[in-house]
Amino acid sequence: MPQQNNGLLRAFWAVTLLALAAAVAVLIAYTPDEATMGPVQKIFYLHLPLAINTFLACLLVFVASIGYLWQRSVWWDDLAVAGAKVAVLLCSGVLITGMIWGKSAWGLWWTWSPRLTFSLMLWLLYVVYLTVRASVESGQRRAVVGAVYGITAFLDVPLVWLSARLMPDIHPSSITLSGEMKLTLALWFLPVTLMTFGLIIARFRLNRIIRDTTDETQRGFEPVNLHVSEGIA
Amino acid sequence: MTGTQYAMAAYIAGLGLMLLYGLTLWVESRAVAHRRRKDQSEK
Amino acid sequence: MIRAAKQSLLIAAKDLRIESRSRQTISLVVVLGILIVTVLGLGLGGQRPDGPAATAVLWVAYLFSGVLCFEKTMAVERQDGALAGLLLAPLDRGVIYLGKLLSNVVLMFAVAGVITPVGILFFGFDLSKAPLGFLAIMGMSMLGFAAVGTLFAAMVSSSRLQGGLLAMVVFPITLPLVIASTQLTSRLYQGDETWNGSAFAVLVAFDAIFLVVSWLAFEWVIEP
Repeated sequence: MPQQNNGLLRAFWAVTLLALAAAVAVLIAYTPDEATMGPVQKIFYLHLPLAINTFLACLLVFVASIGYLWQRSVWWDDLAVAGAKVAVLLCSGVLITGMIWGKSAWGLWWTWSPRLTFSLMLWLLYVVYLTVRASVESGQRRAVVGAVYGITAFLDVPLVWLSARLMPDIHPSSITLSGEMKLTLALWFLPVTLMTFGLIIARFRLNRIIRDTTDETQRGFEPVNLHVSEGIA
Repeated sequence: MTGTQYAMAAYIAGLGLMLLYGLTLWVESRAVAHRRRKDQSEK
Repeated sequence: MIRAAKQSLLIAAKDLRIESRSRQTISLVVVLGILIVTVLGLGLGGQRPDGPAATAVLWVAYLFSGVLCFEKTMAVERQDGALAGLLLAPLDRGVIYLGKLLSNVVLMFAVAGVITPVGILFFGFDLSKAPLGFLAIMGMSMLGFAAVGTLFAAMVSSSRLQGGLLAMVVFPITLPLVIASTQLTSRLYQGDETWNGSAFAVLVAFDAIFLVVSWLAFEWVIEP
């Protein structure tokens, strides 16, 4: 790994963590409590950026899947996996923060309200992406299966959203945000988005390195496609 | 539990999840790099 | 266009002829469906769930038996290298997809034709309020389900994947269908007996999107 690249990466993470610390400080010291819901409404500043970034990660899986079918290069496949893993991670974050909020606001960990249902269905879609990939043996086949599923899953997302909206709703659909709240929200987008892309890139680089090493060790006595190690992590 | 405690729990869980994942990636990449160096020195 | 339709009809006819001679899939799937309905009926402790709950029970039976149907119609091609022959034939891959879809839909309707009366009987679900609406909802949902199922069955069958994987791939994608159709039936049978327009739109959109996408994607996943 080139040293210069490493330095850049370190700088990136330093900036990200700094932004995160700043966002936390602002959240505690500056942002006012919402009038009706009180301090628990502050979950919102993490919840919404996580949700938006989940969507971005899913979009990345979609684009990378198309890229794979178009160019048939494992580069795209590695990118799609990285995107899907981070999408599942972020979606878990959305679900957990949403459930904690729900527990505090309605006294229930879970209701089948549209948004919770939607998050759960999205989470399932991409968890299945990872598990299905893990159970295909041949490497090339796995990439094709993953790509087709990645495209189908993403096209399913709007339908999932529309169908989830058919469920009866108790969600606070619109919160009027004051200027300070909007500023906090905007500020929180920065670290969460940076972390998302940082994690995707880190996962992607790791995928590439693992792929290179296994290709090296297997070249010569194995056909291309055997067991590239791939866990859920 | 009060609202503040719920909010704190949500932030710890949400951010903790991401940071934890970042940490596992870091550990894993160090392990892979280490293994690679070892393989190369054996050759 | 007409030739493609004829060709896909030919493929479907071939599948159905094989099925009508062996009756392997249909007997298996029908028994499975009845078993599922029975298990759920016993699990609910002999309660009589009304409209939406009965549709949920039926959905579980349809989903599992449908997946089995899709698996079987592709597995037929696995024997004696039949798929390689089919792929070598001067056919568009899309035609093969349509043929398979057609045979799957026919099989599923045949299976549903047995399971639905059983479910209705066991759960005392009164269909007479809007029988045509019920048929339309279930028909539309099954078409969408079969569209996705046929694509992924081809994918799974040529990957030597572990059994049960097809269900895992297809279920999360078909969840919108489950929600939309249960909402439609619950409005039709429980609420104000009107047609739930937005739920129906979801059904139509699902069918349209996944028919086209699966048809296009089929050639990437089918492999001898």
